Amino acid sequence: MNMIEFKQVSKIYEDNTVALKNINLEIKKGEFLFLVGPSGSGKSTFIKLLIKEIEETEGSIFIAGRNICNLKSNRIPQLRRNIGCVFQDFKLLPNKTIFENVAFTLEVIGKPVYEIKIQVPQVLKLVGIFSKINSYPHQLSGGEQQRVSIARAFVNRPPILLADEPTGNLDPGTSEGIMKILSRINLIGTTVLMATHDRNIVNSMRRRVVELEEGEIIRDQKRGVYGD
Amino acid sequence: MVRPRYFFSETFISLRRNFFMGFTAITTVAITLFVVGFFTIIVYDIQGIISSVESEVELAVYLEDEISEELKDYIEKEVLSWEETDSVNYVSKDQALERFREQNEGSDILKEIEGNPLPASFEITLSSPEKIDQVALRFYDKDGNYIEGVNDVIYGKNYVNKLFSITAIVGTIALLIIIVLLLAAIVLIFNTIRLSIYARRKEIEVMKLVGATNWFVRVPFLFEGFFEGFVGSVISIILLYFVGNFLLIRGERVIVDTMRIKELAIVGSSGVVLYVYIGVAVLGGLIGILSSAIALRRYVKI
Repeated sequence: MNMIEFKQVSKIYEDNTVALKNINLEIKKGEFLFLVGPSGSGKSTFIKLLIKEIEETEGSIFIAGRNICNLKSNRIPQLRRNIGCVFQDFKLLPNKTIFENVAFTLEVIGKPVYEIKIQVPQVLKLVGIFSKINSYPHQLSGGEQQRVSIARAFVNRPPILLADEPTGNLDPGTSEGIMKILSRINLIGTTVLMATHDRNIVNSMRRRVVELEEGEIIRDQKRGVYGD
Repeated sequence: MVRPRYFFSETFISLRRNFFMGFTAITTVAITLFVVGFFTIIVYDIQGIISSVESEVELAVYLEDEISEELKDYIEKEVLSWEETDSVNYVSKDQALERFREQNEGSDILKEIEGNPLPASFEITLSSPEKIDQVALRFYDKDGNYIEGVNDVIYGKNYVNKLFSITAIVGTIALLIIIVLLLAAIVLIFNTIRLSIYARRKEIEVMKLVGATNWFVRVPFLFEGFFEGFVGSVISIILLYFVGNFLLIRGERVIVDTMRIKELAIVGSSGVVLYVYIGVAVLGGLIGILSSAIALRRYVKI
């Protein structure tokens, strides 16, 4: 079954920049996919389209078989609850503890307090940051903060996890730890889509690689490498 | 999905964080609504003063000396049948002279009076004093002469008209001031909330990212606006109760003394003040919520 499907999707921004050109792509449930390419090749646009932060200009996008293009705006929150997001800059709230940052996701979707108290420690153990549960983000290293951000994206157990350059700010050793966590999450059955230009990571993981260049897919390879 | 505890804690966290902005907004609402309330009470009082003055406005219809008893009775009956008429009082020539003597006791003028030069009259008070012009006209015929038996019609025409135009002007000015002040309060609360939203834009971004509904994002800000408006209005009610009453009672004393008006709608004794308090509280809350809603519309595009 296709978890994500792009059918002839194009995105042209208001200033006439063509970000994506006639994209056709199928991502199966439980797949781990690297989206690679230089800056400005359309990786971020790809991810923003999936969470409907922006609207496609042409084509259709299907998630779990449902066309999200004509989704009403009041259904967008529901869509986003099924897609976890991890970013290069972590986007943690500085005035909330690690527990509160992760609990935030569950509060927002109206989970009762007792469930939050069970689920948050669970996911913090999964990403290996449980010992910092009462710390604040600024007391943590970059790698630790990214773990928290993954925990926040995954605490709700969404079927899809999007990661936009999650290792962009981290050193190679720390990045490796982050990749282990993403692999683990993928093993549980989550579809993971990661945009990156970290050559070493892509080469060591040997997963499906889709390469974008100037908004077009120029390569789609199973067990691929970063390329030249 | 309703999580009052979450919303309340978020509201108060935000209020604590933006203490000075919140303080500014609350103070503005308090002062603005105090002035608005104060003006409302003043306008009401002025209206009270005016209506008590108005009720003393009467129409004096002087009769010819040689009027027949039948004609006199006919005029009295006619006047009584008008719906504008409140009361008719007949003052005979003798009574008029008596009154004149009382009013001018000890004056030389009394010595110069021979016989009784004073006419008999009807003193008419109206239930609707603003129609005094129309009523007066009924004592004239088509050609502008007095009707038979009537010698003169006197009322404070200019005085009465001036009174009515002053009422209108005071009312309009007060309304304008109230509107301007309310706008100022809205702009200030609007700014406070906008800054508060700006300060929390990262939080809002994350909220939307993890699938918060629009209402979930909005409610804490609406609460914040309501809280600021409501607290401001409570403070202004307290101000109105202590400072406002003191000023008004003083002012009224002066007016009562100078204008020699018997009765006045004294502040505190009427239910109006209570209505003003309730109005101020409702207005405060409304301004708060409304400003937040506008600020949110512009700054939280979801």
